[in-house]
Amino acid sequence: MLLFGSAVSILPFYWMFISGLKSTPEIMSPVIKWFPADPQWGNFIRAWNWLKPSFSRAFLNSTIVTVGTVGLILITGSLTGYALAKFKFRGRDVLFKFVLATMMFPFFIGLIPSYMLISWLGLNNTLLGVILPAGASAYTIFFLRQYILTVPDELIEAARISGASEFKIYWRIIVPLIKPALISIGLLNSVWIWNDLIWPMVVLQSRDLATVQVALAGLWDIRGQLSDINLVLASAFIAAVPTIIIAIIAIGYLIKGFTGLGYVKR
Amino acid sequence: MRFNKTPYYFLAPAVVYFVVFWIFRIVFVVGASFTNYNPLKGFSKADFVGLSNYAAALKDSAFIISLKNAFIYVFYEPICIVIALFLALVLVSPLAKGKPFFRTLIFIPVITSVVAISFVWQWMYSYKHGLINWLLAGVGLAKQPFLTSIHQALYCIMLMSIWQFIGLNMVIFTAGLQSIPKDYYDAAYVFGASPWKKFIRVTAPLLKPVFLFVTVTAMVGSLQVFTEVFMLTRGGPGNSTIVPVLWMYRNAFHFFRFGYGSALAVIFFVIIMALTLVVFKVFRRGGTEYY
Repeated sequence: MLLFGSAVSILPFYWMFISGLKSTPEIMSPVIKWFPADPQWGNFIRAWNWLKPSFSRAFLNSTIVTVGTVGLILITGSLTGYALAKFKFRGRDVLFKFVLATMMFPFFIGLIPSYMLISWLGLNNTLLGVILPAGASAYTIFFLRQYILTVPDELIEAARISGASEFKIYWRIIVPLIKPALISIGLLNSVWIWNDLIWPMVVLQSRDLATVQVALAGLWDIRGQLSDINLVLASAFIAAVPTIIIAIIAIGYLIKGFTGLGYVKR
Repeated sequence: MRFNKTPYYFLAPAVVYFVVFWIFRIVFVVGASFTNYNPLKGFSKADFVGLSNYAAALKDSAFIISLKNAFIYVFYEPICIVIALFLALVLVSPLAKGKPFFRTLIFIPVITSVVAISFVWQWMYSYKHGLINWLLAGVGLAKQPFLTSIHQALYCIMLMSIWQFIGLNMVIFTAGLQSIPKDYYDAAYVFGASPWKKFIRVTAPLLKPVFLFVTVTAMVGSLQVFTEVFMLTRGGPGNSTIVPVLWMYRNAFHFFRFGYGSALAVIFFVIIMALTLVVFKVFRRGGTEYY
């Protein structure tokens, strides 16, 4: 059962890889071959520079967007979560309900307004324009708030009495204590941001700025030309490698993020 | 806790950032939905058009079809769950070997980008060169047009989503199964219950509320499907696989009808929020509290 399940899960990846290795005549023949007769390893090298922009550039763009966005999400998330968990202020309950409500809000509602906003800020067609509107996440705030609740008040009080500044309490006590939660939710957000297509596609019109997903999606138009389908699939495989590696090395953290606190976001 | 103002100076920016962004989005999208705003012509050319965008949306056959398609699409989730449950039951049983390995393999599709997997699925669905048609022919069945058929394309997209999300549902089930106290199973063992009885009398009732909740919220979330459709069919053939977010995207960013696109977004938003509230009401009445 498990064997069958994992075989089915992995088969499309194998097929992606093996099709990427096939030569053009081999992939165009209607005969299905499980192993290429003459593996064309060069296809992967060709695909690397064939993508527009090249994979080097696309990976760089994706990395900038992902690191920037997730960094912002973790800063805003931990600060807002800390405020919600450990401070009493007017409007706190309203703010918490607002966070819960926006967690249910569909993403598409923000598509047009966020695009307009960054156009007015002159950030259309820039990586910063992709990052800025995505820098706060309700799920992250909620997740971190629940985690910060478990930090004992006495610890914060003791630090305050011994004269630590408020920022120092946040940076030296709260952040180190919630590190596992930050890693889980940070990785989960990274995967989401890395894989996102629609938002960077709307913001980034120039080819050079395209993220991996946007550049890869650009191959849609030539997928009909069968002669290049091996390069298309080689590109798809290259694009899939980073998340496969993440799945292998960090599955535990990801699962904690996904199953965290009984709420699941897709 | 003692009242102290200093924390607010560094906590406030994050809170304000979050709140202002959301309030701006809602206000703008609702405001724009009453205009014929086109970003190419600018604000000065935009007119207030009242409810006419909404009236047009209700008569827009593509939008109506897209809603129907989205409501069909979400049913991939219950199918996915049944398969995932079986896998999870195997995975938690003490007899299974090499669990972390299998778990990782089944989980890989979950976090792979839809863009990448769509290309290979499209290739596997191909009539002439596709792996799936080869398998069908191999067992003596007729080849199918799949993505190029107006009757099959939507189900083909659903199949890819089932495949992709089995791993996610499986790990959620596994976590749920492991949270059931062992005492219950010990008691069942004392009474000599069969494995099937154990599942029906112990596992299923204890897991039901959580998994019903997960299923329904995941289904509501899946109404917003975009990338899968965009990458597999672009809504085609014809409009047979169009979905609301794709139709909204096309109106806003291809036809530059921001006013109309906003109206579509607001209508679909209201539908989703209404559904979400109903779901929560039902669950609260059922005695399940999640927050």
